[in-house]
Amino acid sequence: MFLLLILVLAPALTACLLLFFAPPERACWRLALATSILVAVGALRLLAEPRPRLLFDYRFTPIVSLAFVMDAVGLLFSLVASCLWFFTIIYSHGYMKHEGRIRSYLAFLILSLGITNGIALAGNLVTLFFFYEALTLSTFPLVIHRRTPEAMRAGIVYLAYNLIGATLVLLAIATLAGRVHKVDFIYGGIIPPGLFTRAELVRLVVLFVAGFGVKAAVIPLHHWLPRAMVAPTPVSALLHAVAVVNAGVFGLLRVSAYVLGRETLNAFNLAPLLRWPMVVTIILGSIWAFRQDDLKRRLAYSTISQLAYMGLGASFLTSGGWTAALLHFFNHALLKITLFFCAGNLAVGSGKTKVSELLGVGFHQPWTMGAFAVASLGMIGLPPANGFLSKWYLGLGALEAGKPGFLAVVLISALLNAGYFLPILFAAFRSRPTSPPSLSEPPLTMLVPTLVLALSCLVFFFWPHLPLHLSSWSEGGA
Amino acid sequence: MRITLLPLVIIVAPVITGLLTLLVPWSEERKARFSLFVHAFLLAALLALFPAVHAGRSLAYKLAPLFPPYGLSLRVDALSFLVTLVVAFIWFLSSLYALEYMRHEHHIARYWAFSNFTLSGCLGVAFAGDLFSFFVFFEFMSLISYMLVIHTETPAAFRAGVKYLYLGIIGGLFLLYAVIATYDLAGTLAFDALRSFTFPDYGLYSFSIFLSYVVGFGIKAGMVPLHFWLPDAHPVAPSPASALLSGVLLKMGAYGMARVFLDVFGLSYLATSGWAEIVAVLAGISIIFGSLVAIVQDDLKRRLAYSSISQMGYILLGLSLLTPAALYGAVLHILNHALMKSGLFLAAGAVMYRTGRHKVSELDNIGRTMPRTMLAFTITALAMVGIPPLGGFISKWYLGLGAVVGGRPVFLFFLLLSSFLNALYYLPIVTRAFFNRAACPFAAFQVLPPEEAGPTSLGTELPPLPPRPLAPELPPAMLFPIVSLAAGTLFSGLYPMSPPFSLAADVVKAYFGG
Repeated sequence: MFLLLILVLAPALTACLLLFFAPPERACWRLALATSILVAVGALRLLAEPRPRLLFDYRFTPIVSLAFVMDAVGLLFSLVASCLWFFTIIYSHGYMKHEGRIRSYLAFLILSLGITNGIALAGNLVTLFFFYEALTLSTFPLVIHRRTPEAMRAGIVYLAYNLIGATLVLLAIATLAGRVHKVDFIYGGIIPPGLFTRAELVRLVVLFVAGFGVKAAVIPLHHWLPRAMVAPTPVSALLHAVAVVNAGVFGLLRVSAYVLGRETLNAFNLAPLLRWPMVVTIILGSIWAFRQDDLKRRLAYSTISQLAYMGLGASFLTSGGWTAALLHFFNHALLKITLFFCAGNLAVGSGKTKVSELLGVGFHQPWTMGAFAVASLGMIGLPPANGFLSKWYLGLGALEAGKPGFLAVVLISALLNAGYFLPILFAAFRSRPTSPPSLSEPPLTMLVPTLVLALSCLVFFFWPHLPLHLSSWSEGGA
Repeated sequence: MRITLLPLVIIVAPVITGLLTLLVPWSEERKARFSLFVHAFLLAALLALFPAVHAGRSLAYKLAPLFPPYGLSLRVDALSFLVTLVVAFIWFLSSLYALEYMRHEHHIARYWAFSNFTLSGCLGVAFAGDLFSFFVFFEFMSLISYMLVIHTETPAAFRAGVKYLYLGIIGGLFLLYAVIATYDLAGTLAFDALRSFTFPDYGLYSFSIFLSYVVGFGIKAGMVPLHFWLPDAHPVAPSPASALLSGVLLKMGAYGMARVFLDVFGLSYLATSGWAEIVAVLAGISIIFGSLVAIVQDDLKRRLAYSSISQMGYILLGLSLLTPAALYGAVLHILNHALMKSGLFLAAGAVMYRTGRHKVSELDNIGRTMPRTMLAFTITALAMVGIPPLGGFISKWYLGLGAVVGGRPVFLFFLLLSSFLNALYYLPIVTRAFFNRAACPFAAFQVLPPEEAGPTSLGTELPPLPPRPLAPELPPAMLFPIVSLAAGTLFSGLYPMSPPFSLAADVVKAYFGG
């Protein structure tokens, strides 16, 4: 209960403090940093708690209640978000030196942390929905932070897509609640057999997939994500590689395993409704990434493609696939945030934002490009980076489900990933300058988080026990 | 220290060496010597393992916390020991050679670091006890060796490196499919357990697994038609690295294929299904194709690279004939070719080092300036052709025997034809070196300098190295490895039944039961 206050409410309070009391800038940073440390520690502390556990439940009506639960999947999301937020605050300190309106930036950033934790720990669909909508609203000011015409346009697109998506989710929840009379998350699903016909279930699944699929950047609902790259890089890194998009995937995971449940999905053969949009997203996302010259946009399309791995894993309805989904949830967050931080380092250190400008940059920013290389390895799925294990489980899940063709999809996608990450590395380390190059790395507040996160990508290859443990816990009935 | 820990130490030592080389601010000379010392130590450590292996004990070791969820699993049996011996021995000699050779190159520390990392990868592949550990080390090895290929950072090196990397990744993806699918069918990945597992049927799924293994390992082993990265990558690396790439890394692909044939699928299954035929045919094509194209290569290292394609074909052919004699020949040839090809590459590098020449057409009378090097080259080249009493003859003999016994005499013809072709592209080098070109009886098969002949070579021309002013005597650090390898081929031919060559017999015994 106390931890809940820390994880969800403390950030909200800090945000209010920042917005309404307008402390001086240095105090804002200290406050934001302290809050993020507090939340990260709180999330880690949760690991020690017995689970699953109901943390809080307040019923407005028999169906509509605000409930918080701590189980393996929620804990995974909360940990990822809370720990990575801490790194982002530090990174922002270096990056945002050149931007304005720091107070509002920090306020909404911290607020979004609390809301993300709310999504993670939500105990039923209504609570999830509430925080889900709130996340859209709290991240909107971050997207339009720079207030350029392009940013404002991106913000409108962002709002439009997400609000429509949320509406679809609401429709689905209402349909569900009307018939099942409860909306809690129970592993294995809450739908009694025989209650729905297949047609009704199809409609329900489509609504959920489309609704959560907006945030999860499923093609064709993904358009907001590349456009949202106009935001400052820490925002892109955290929100659009870790928190917002992961919230969408989280919603899909909750729905598939805790609301509908494997048995229902299996019995009515509903998994293809989830699987095929994922396949399309994986392939098209990778192909479109090739065409992007802007580095952040290329990373955005890569995100779109990689998120679908998680949905694909869940759609196999097997143990291997589920493990893959959760493992990649964890791995991708680490990898993508590293990549985005590298992009920010390149922009600040060398002023380069486009792939075509990166010739030789590896000699001026060797640490950044080293981190980029490690994270690229992870995205392609090569040892010794953590992404390898996700691919392994994804392949295993595909075969367990008896669908080797999807394993081929994963492998082809890995090759495509190589195709749009390796050329960046090749270009960066080509044409060595004749005289010793001048190092133009960004300040340490930006460089150190990048390197620590890149290192963690290697570490979690050798010791992936945390996400693996959580995933097996979740299947053990957590 | 328990002897079962020794493989782990052997694998980890080069990684630590590599990290130290990258991070610690010693002089480059010191780093090079330290690496050499570690490689010597590895060889000694391996020799410490020999008694146990020879006694037939199979050392297994499992480190569960690492590489979850299956854990790092190591296993030493006759075949893996043989391969690691090859790796360690060639690496030691190459490092000794590189001590001197690399003095004139750039980024020396980086070379040593990545050489060590690659070594670790190779040792891990050889010692891996299950497919998961194998795959992780294999991918790591393929990836890290890229740094050796592009070491000189010339445009040609980068071009070759791109091909090398992408093909390595593609091969890895095929292998990933094969390994996951094997796990799906067998429920286990350990080589020991897989030996007792038989695939349920001969259907499409099992076949796709087999084919994926063949493609994945075929890319690495330079099997036609997956070979096209090889003629660019091997010449463009610094010569000690070329020796490693051609002498050792190719063998890892063959080793993987061997494990698949022997442990994963099993000889009886393959014999019944007849799938090994595919590999036999492709190997046969490699043998002839490699030799034919080698004849028209003017660049010496490129000629050696195509020769490697051909020779790897021998090994793959031996594996796919599924008879004891053929297997014996294949395993023996892994040893022999490693000795021979490394020796040839190091000799070619010595010629380049001392005279700056890298084309066959420029090698007239080089035997007068570098008699000892060219003598070693001659012995090694004769071994490649398969002339007794040199090592290459023994392995070819058994391969031919295996072909006939296995009811495929056509492959014996291929082997003989290939020996003849080998002569066509090795002997001219030897005669050019020691005799005046015009006086040579092989004049008809000489490669003419480009001005005279017009475009004949099929590959891209590498930029010529700037000729070094005639360096003094070849340093002993470079001469010794070349001569040792030539001596090794002689030893292999004269005493093929003595250790370590006798290990090949142990391997055959293990899989054919005596």
